[in-house]
Amino acid sequence: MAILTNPFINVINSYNGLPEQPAPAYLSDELKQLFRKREVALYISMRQVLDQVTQLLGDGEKIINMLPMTNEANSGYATDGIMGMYAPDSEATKWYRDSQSSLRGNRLMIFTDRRIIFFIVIEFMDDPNQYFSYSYESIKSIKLKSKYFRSADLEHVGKTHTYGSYTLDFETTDRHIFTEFLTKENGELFKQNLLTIPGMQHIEVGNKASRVNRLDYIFSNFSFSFKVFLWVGFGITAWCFIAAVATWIMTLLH
Amino acid sequence: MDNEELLAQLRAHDEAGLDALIDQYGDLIRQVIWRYLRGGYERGYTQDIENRCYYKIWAKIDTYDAAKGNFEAWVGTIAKHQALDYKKGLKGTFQDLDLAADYLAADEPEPEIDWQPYLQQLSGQQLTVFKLFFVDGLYPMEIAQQLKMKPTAVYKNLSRARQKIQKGGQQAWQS
Repeated sequence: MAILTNPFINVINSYNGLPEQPAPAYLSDELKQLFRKREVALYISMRQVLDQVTQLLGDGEKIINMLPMTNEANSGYATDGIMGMYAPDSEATKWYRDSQSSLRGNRLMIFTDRRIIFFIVIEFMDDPNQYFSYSYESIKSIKLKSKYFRSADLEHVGKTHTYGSYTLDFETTDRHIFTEFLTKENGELFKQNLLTIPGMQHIEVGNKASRVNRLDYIFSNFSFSFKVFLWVGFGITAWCFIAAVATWIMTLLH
Repeated sequence: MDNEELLAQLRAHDEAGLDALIDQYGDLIRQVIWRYLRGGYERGYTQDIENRCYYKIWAKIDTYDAAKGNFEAWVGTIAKHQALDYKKGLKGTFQDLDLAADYLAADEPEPEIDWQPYLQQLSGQQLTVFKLFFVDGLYPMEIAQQLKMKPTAVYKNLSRARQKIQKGGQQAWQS
């Protein structure tokens, strides 16, 4: 099946009880039908995933809601390109790969009344032990920083239209670090959960990442790494430019 | 694709079978759902109900018995039940996902109201019309055709049934 808009967010939102979003208007009727088939196939796969999730829950533990993340809407830093490659094992996973044209791109964060369960969908389908569990007690503080980007698409030329997004970063007391780029909707759901889930009430929310080990501020801090990469890149470019201009001037003088 | 082939593919959980099901029965499923969801707000959840229908068919295809009825009627019945379940206020919760209720943080469903004392005061015809309208979700014209009566008689029966139930409710509340 051809790659169209990823229906993962739509499907998870329907599980969260939100009304459906219409298919993109630019799609023809045939493409809309293809998109619909892809959506139904994903819905069936996600039912199997949710059945697996219920096996992980403890006595009396309850699911509150789910936060979908994709390469298209969130970051593809660790789940796209070479990092996004995966070889499915089971028939269900092969069906997921073929029907969704997707490998490690779709991720799911499940909020229960006790913890956050996070997994990459295709890995979790193959192996129910491939997930991360972050209990609320082990999270002391999080970074949930909002950012706004000015739009650069043709639809909003000449208008002051901005897109909101959030950076999420936290480290648990047993030193698991989680960093992700959230969409505006993801960020709002996360904030809603911080306010409404009793187990999350003690978590401090700020604009700075906090680490247990000081070295992790340098080596396990995506924001810092990005800034270093940016400045080093800028420095190398500036040095090359200055060297080129100096060479040109020297050539002129001789 | 004929029904035999479609059923064989669905039983084998073949993706082509699911695609054919959506192509051949997608319109029927939507028509049945829209028959029970009349408002624009409710129809905003159409695709979610359709997804549940497709999942039911996919998961329960082995329980379909051709000797008991044709496939179209079976699909229509599933769509009807899914739409009616949704209407009963289950939308937006996980309670109709077939997950064990112990795992879900949704609010407790409200207890079923015992309508029998209220419905006892209705005559036979009023009761039939009342159930067809409020329980089965039929339009007055369809009820009129089914019961072979005039549409005005359907409206009259509904109106009198409502009045009787209102009076009965007040008396029950006062007592």
